Amino acid sequence: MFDGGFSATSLAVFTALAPAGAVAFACLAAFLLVNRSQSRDWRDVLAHLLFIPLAIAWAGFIASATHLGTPANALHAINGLGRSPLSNEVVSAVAFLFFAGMAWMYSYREKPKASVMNGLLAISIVCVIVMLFHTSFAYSIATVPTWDTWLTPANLCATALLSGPALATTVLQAARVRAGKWPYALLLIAVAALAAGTVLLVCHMNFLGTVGNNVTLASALVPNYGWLIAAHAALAICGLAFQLHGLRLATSRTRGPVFSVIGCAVVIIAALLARFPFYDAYLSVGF
Amino acid sequence: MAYGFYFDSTRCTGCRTCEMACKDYHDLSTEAAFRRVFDYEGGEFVENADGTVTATTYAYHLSEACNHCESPKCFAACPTGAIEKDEDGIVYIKEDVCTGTGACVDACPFGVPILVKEKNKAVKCDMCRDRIAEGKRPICVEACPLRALEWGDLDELKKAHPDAVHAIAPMADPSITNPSVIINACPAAKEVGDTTGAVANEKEVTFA
Repeated sequence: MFDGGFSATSLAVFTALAPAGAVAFACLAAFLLVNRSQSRDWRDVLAHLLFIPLAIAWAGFIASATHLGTPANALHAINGLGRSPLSNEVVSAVAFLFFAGMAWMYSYREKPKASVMNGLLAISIVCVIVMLFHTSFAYSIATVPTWDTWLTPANLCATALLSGPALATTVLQAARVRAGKWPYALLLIAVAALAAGTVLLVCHMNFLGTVGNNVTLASALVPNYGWLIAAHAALAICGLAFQLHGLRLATSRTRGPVFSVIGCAVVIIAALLARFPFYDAYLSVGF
Repeated sequence: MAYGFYFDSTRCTGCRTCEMACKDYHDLSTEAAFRRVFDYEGGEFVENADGTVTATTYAYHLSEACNHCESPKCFAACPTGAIEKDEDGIVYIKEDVCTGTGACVDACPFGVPILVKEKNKAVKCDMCRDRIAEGKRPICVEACPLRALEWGDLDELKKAHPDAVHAIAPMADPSITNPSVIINACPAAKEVGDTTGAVANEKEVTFA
């Protein structure tokens, strides 16, 4: 798995962490927008904790920057806006980080205006959707048939909808807010995304058996795809079970969040594991 | 006007002089070669009922540099605009703008651009632009001892070699990018998409 994929490790980390952080941010922003009438104190606590998904998304972006051979030229990466899928991805990611960062910083204002905060949160949610779209389609390269399939965006979204809500659940619990059914609903989304994502991974694995070039069949590039899918599913199930257990221990002020944090970390590792075979499966139509 | 290459596979003996002259001229390390010679081999020996053997084996060479395509995928994929196609049709990388994302490496169906770790940049054949500016031919063309490589205005090359084809195996389908290359196919040469043979020197021509 680390043969072909190692050079793409930074991209695997990026496409695992950035969507996780971004979707978690969107979930929390939606929670804040829906529960506008609640007392301000815990809203402030939660808004401060928006830092956690933001930091995880940042970690993903820093990982992707290590993929640039020459980070000093990084600004050139936006030259191809509109023309290059990669430039579109970078610009939409920067837009998300800008608005999400603004929302987080604005939460520290002594007398924040609700309208400004809600506006920033709403724009951030839109940015997350645009960013996910562009990240998915950055791999629609006509000369790489193993990536240029609807399974690529579908897989990326499934992974994001697994790890993002899982992370949001943990942040909600860490913030100790009365979130009602929200954490359970988020976990339910994660479970559904895991089920769909696992099926999509199996579809991609089978698809690789039908694609080849002059040199090799694509399935030969990822001989351990089946094991990776199994490990991904098993880890994610364990992680989500830990989180559910953490939620049920909500009466305990420390043990609950600890279980939730561990479970969330395991889910993110599971999401990362699902990204490696994708990069290993790079195959050009030519030699 | 667009410059292009003509490669005569009936003449090429696979000696690698073109490749080495290029590496020498461009001072390339072991990590890169702008021109590569593919050994394409296939076929089998079939034993007949009378004990004799019929051979369908074949082997031929393909010397391929950047094809300076009419619709280059590398150019389209580069997020920084570091790849340009000049008025002579030469596709080249502007090193000062390249960030080394590798988008061109992924997109080129011919495996031409190479990410060089020392520089953290993508590099590839620039058709010896500096030599062309001095009125000389690319170094690979000058070096070939068999005169299997020609270079010039692609339309004139096509006129001079009316029977030449656009690609032979193991090249990618030429309709994807319209390479500025024409080839005189030797009798053994297989068509694009052939599955009867394989590149016998895969490690030699792969830079990852």
